[in-house]
Amino acid sequence: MSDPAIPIAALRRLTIHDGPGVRDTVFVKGCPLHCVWCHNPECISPHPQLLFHAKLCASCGACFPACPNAVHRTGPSGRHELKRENCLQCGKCVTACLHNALEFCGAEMSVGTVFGRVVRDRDFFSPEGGVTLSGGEPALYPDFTAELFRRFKKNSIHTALDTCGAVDFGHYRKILPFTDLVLFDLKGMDPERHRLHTGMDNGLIHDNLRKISGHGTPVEIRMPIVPGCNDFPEDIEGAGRLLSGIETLIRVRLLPYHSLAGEKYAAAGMANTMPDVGTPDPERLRGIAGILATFLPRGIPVFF
Amino acid sequence: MNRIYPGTRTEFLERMEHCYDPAVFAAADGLAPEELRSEIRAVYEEGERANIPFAVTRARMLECFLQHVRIAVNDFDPFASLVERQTLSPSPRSEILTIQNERKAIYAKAALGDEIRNAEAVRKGVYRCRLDLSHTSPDWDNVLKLGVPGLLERAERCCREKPSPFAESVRIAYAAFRDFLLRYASIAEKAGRTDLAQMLAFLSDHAPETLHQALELGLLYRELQEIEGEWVRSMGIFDRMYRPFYEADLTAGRLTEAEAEDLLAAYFSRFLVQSQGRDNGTPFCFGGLLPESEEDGCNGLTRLAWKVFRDLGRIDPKFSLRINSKTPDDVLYFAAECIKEGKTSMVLANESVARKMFLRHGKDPADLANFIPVGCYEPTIMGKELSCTMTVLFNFAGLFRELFADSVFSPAAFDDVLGKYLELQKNELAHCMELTNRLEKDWNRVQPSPLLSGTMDDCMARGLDVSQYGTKYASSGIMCAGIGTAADSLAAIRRLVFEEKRVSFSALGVILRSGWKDHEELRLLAAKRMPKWGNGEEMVDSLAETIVHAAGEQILHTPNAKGGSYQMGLWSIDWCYIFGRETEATPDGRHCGDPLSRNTGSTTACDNEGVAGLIDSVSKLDHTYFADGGVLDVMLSPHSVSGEAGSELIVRLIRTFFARGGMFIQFNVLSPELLRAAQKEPEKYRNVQIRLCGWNVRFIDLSPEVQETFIAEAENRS
Repeated sequence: MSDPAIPIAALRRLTIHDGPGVRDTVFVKGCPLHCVWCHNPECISPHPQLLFHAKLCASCGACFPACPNAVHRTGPSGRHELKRENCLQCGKCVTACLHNALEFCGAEMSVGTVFGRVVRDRDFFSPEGGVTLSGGEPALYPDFTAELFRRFKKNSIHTALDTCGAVDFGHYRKILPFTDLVLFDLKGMDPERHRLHTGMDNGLIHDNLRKISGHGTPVEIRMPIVPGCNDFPEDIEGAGRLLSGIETLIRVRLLPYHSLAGEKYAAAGMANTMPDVGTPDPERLRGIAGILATFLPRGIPVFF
Repeated sequence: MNRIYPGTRTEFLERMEHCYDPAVFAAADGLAPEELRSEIRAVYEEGERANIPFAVTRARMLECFLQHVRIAVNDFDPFASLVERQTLSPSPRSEILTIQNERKAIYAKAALGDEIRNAEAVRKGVYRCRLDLSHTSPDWDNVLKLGVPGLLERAERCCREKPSPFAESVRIAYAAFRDFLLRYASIAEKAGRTDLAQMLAFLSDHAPETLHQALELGLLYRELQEIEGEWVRSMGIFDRMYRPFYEADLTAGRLTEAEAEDLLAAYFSRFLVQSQGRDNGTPFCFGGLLPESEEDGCNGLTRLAWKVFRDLGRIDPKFSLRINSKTPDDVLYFAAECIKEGKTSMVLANESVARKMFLRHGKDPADLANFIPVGCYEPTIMGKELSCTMTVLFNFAGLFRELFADSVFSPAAFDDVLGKYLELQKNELAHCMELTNRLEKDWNRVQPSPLLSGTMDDCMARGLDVSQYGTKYASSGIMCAGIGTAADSLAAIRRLVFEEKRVSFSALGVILRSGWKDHEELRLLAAKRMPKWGNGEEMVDSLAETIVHAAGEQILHTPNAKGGSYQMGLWSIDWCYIFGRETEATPDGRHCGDPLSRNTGSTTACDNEGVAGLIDSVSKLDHTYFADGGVLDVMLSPHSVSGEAGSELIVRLIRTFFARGGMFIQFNVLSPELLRAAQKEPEKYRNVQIRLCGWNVRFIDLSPEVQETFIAEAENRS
């Protein structure tokens, strides 16, 4: 039997913010979008990545001789610097660093491994809990995701797919038969601003949302609210209009933007693209929820 | 019109905060503290001179105290419980305790010669053995059902039918209690508190009939037992014991639910006011299966008491909840909501494992309805057990020094090391129990407890004091600390010495003695790269299981000198710090003097697999060994339990840990940012609570060393 493997960024046990109830969440690596506000930047690239946690570094120099490609060096400021373009992901520096300042993100894990890790937590899950595949974009890996979900379903474990919607529908077609719930991200209604903030317009995404609903799978909409980026009245009202036609919609959740992921960009050696805007206050979220509610069928709650 | 106290609730609570600061005692109402001390000393010396049985002298000392101590009432308190004992030293601050300590030292020296220090047998960093006089619970059912006159009458009957110094001592103690109530009533009357005067006079002549009277009697009983010389380590099963009074009041229209809530707020408030956070909290037990029933005892009073607990949000009193399959969901979720809000002064107990544990330790199934945690989380049978839960304090991690000290020992394989460790553990535990047997044989000469014994059916039926082991059960607890440090250390030896061969066994011993000097890389390997207890890893978890199984079997099958048995506890309370300071560097990469792993948990911040991993490890142990208790501390980040599913997560953690066989669990919900901010500006964060070990404290009151361990744990969860 095939046991496909994909790069996994992290497996978080007993979460309550990635789908209903108490569940485990698996973060895959690789995403077709590049949202400027991304909270998991280490999940954008599908390739393994060296993370460097500067605050744990003791400047002991143990990684310098360990690396065959001179990735690590002391920079002009006297601080540890990385020449990442030299890195061949051999992992020797990670082994040498006893302060855990270096970490590899994105080791390949097979369906069997992920299944085995999650299933041991099943007695913690609440009746509505289970497993969420997030990321990154799990629908980039239809064979892996479908097979993993098939195995969970066979064991009566609830499956949730957290997706940005920006992949070919053929991928979803493979996954949806084994998916109990789709957590679908809606990141803005204006196609141009969407392209500006995520690298792609939203045509395919909206199309996929309708098709997923047409498939009959329950959908929870997740809307990051990023002030000045996607919270204009036309975004909210447009979302309301789009969602009013989504028959399998069960709830909407607003995700207020925060800028706490800054350290993750630094650790991955990526330029921090997060906008310098504050976190929307509860009053603002309540207002947005109120507008959305006017479009949605009765009984569809908007959480924030 | 409020029938509980004058004024508004807010005014009342504000005044309660300060009611013990300037306790005003009228000089004419009793003896000054120094005079009272000499009076008690005179009673003691006279008793010794006249060769009076010490039990009788103890009762006379209590009588003397109650006749002469200054007592007061104020103009707002619904309870009379102002007894001038705070100003006497040492805590609970009467000459009675000083005499008790003198005798303890004399008999300990006679039993053990020069091996003792402060009346304890001590091997630094390895064990303490002592007489633990203070981890038992009175029979609260009898206190409330019989009242003072009923208990006095029973003592008088015992004097007639089975005369003995013991019977006489109980009679003296309860007659003194009755006279004290009358004296207090007259003082209340003089102060214009006719309401309190009437209640006290009533209690001198009747068992309580109303909730107010029952709570008053409970308060005064606790006060008097602590004056006699034994801490009251549980206030009993609150919702079961006080329910009849509460329901009768409601039915008779004597009390509304709102008034009852105010009464409970007044009642619970005083515990922190009295202790000022210094006495490790006052435990109240809730819920649990009712006697001869398969139904849970949670009721309207449970919900009311927990509502007051949440509204007050204090560190003291501390609550425990006995959880079983019948525990009402709303009560369990309410407890989870409190935890989520950081009101964590509670422990959750798994009744089904506790029952199996009690049966394994030979307890009568009929007694299990009276299961209560005493102290922090030490299981006992209320009113039937003399449970001395801190008789021996033992440090698993303290054995490594000796393991490496034998220069002849040259292990060829890891199993040799494990075998040697277990042999050391066995010998040291056996030695501890042997020392304790010698200490405990003199208990009756140190600590007869007439008031406490007088509450207990078995003591009265047999005519024996608790110190003569008149109770149905008499156990001696062995608190075993440092399981995580010990298992991690054995795992590190296995990996570093035998599998990776990075260092020889004898060289590692030298390195540890030097405190890892010049071997930082090896230390880091040991600290950061080895399997650690608390992550569900088979290699190290099986070592912890081996240690616990060996200790558990040995302790379970060793009788004590009190006609009962030794009982194993897997916890440390703050001895993870005290033993830590006495413990040299250990093979797990720990520096000399650093804290040990706390309670059943991992070494600080080594549970990298999250709470699930921690529970994976800890639930592998057989908790039915832990008749002396065993608790898991869970640290959660506020984010991980935020939102509507947060309490669901907490409930799932409790339910899953219990389904897997865990016995006690307690929580902290803290972020490192909050704790750092509290370090910087303590005044602004006075109300941040920490579940320290088995009680709550304000974070700002912790030492910097202990603060750092909690910050590291919170960081590991953020």
